[in-house]
Amino acid sequence: MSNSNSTIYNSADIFTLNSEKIEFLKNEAYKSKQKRFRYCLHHSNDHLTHEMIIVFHIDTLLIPHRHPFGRSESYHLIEGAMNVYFFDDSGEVIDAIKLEEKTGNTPFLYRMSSHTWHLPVPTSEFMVYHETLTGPFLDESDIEYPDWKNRYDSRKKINSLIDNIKIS
Amino acid sequence: MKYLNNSFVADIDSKSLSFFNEKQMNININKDLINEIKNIAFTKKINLRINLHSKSSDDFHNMIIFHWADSYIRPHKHLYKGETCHIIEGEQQIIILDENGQNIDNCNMSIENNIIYRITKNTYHTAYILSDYVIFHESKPGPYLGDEDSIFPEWAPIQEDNDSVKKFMNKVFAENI
Repeated sequence: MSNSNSTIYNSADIFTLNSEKIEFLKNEAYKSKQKRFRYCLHHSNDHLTHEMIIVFHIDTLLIPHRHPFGRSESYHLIEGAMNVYFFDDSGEVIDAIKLEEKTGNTPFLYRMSSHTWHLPVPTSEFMVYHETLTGPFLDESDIEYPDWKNRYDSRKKINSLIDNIKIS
Repeated sequence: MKYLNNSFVADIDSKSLSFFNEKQMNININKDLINEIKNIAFTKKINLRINLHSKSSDDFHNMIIFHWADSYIRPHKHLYKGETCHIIEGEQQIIILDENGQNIDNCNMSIENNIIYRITKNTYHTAYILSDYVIFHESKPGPYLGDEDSIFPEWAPIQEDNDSVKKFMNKVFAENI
């Protein structure tokens, strides 16, 4: 297992996720400067499929982004809730979904197969999910940030997004 | 099959009932879809698979799989691919086998504990379903390579040999560590 400030890479042949590990990851997210933590189940960035257990504390701030054409990703909620906002090229919201751990009929698993700007926003104190993504991730061209990213760069702006965009 | 009919297309080449997200739509999975999967499985008494990817040549595969308790997952390994199982409903034991078919590791998976299990490439494995049925989300790299990647050892009986399958699965399950 290798470690950076907010990411751990698995090096074992077999990985299991239990409640003890989830609590450990939540604690690491809370302690981290960015209020999030990531456990990579793949061994290195050149793997063809990236699998991660990601924890967001509600205070974390993410940046709208998209991945190159042909990449797909899925989010499978384990604990808590999040909204995902989708934007056009000018930064206007074109769609939004709510994801929640399997309690009601809210979606708990989402797969995105399109080249769309998106922004995950945690809406519970802690949000734990399993992300899978087409790899490899070799350089900065594997993730793209828009010119208008500053429109969503504070808690106040994010709260305004949550308040103004109603999710059916 | 409202949800399945709206978003997925049946895979006519598959041995078991299987669907593809052929239009490559962004897909939300909720309890309604899980209930549709269960309805089909309960009515037809079959296993089934919902592919969230659009075709077998895609670079990244993930799918929702329903297996009845008496399903035989013939022990196999993948030469080039690891895979991850994320439990949605039910309980199953993942069994890791050595090159001779001996049980060398196992893990009971359920929503309460061990919700996710990842196996690296080149590792023989099977699953023993402990509840009436199990539903899980599996993810792995694509494309599907068939026999180039999936290796089935001689010591693992073929599906059609019911008596040998029963004996073999009882033996590896009894070897629990």
